Amino acid sequence: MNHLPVLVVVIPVAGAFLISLVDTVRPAFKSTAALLVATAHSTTLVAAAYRGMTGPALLYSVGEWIAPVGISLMVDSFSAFFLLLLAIGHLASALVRIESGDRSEWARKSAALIALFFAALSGITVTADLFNLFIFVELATVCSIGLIARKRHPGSAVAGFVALMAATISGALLLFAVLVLYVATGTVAMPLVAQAAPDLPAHLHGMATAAIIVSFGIKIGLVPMHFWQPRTYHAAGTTVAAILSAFGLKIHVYALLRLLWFPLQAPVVLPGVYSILLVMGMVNILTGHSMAMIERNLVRMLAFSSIAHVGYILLGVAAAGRIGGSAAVYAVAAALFHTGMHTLMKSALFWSGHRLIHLSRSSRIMDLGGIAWRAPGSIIAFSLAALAIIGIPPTGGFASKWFVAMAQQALLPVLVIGAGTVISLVYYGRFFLIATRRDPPDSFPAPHPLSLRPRLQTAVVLALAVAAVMAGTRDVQVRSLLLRAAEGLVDQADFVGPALIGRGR
Amino acid sequence: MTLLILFVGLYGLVVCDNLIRKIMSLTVVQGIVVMSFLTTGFQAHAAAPILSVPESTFVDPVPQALMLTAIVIGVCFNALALAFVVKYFQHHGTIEISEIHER
Repeated sequence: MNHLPVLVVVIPVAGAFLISLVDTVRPAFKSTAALLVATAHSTTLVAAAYRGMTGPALLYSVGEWIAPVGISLMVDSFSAFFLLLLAIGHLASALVRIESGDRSEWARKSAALIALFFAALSGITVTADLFNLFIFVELATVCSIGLIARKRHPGSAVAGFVALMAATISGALLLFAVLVLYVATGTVAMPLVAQAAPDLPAHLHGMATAAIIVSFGIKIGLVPMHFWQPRTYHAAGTTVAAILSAFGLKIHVYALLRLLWFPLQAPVVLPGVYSILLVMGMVNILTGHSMAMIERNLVRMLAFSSIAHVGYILLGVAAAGRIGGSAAVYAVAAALFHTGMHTLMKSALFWSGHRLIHLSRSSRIMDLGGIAWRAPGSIIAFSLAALAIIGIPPTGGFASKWFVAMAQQALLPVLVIGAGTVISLVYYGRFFLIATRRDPPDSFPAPHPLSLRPRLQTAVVLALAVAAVMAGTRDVQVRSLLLRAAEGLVDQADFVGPALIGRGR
Repeated sequence: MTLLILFVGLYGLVVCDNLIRKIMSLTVVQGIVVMSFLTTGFQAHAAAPILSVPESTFVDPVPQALMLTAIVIGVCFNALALAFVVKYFQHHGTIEISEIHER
């Protein structure tokens, strides 16, 4: 049996303990240990993703117990796409953190928490069991709250508390949905629930779907359940905000899509839900962009931009659910394209913003005037990523927005996408003009004595930003990958098949 | 009944001003989900699911096993939330949200 699906969870969990151990015995080697764990995990993720992309779905029954008694893990081409994003995420966040000058107690602990967080995210991506999914979602939440509240200042305790409240409601609702599905079908194994879903009583099916949408809506920041995100990202700081927004949020999008399409069979049983998602997507785009425009803090501005971009992803998803059939593959591929692009762009924006904020010791946009001349590498990465996220051709951000717009069946969502692009051009352009002002005030504080020139960090953010720009010009390769991934979600024959026959291979 | 208690918990979460009461409301929400999950596996006059006992009907062991895990997660969340309240109190000297906003 191929052990890759379980290794993508086991390696980072073991790694988190290894990092803590190394930190106790030899603190100097902690970064090396974290990098080692991240490399091992990313390699496993890429190997699993390669198998999922090229072959039939990879099914793994833990302890050789098959469902409904045992827990199944599965990697198909759809989850493979998200495993690739996680591979980029874990490696990049370990590289970025190597040069961090922060030596506080919580900063030391956060390396292990990040490894655990990525373990939980990998678990969400590979599991084929509803209750197991709940466990991994909660594990990811606990890790993220540890990361959010790790700073000493009092605002981080408040933000941690608010995020915890939101997460607990979200967790209780997810558990409630699992309960409803268990009562109705007598199982928590996704393939078996999927088999029974078309025959479920309408009220039970609707209740489970509503609970799942609200639960993951809180996690991914659907308006009006987004209230906790900007405050949390601001308190968490840019390094952690990048991990939460660029990677954590995307995996929760994955979970929402997987649950809607697979166990709930929503495109067949409850197609009306996609019209609601369409409206929510448009509301998210308009609210996120307008709030970002009036925001005076760089981190909160980027957080609101994330909320807006969840809207674009939802528009693609809603279009896919409303079309149905094989045409849905193109719409899902568009949504996945934007998901991947937003991961690259937003991590580049947050991590290059980290350098700018570190230099001026303030995250208020007005305090960052003229900062560009002190950190040219970071501002180049920031501008490239900003060009992509606004959607200037021929960047990847433009291509993904274009595909999402092409998938729409109505005029209104396309107009909303256009309006969002114009608003984001205004606020990113404004930031660029302020940051490149020619009269840098003399009042910049002296650089932190411990801070080195973070060459590696700059190289990583430049690589991410260039990747986001280049993806638009590598259309053919990107598209075949995306279509393969989208087929994994829409045509579930190879996902359901092996699980129902029995023994997984 | 389940929905009623669920809404009592959510109502308390929104209305209560005191952070400890907010955590209590959350516990109510968690508790009712756990309770209703457990009752799904219940059967009157059924034996515990131990295979050596020569009984023909057993209660469903799956909800019990699942809820054990859910309770552990709930305890973990409560501990984290209370830790935040302690930090909050150390800084602000109060745990009433409205009093903090007035300052």
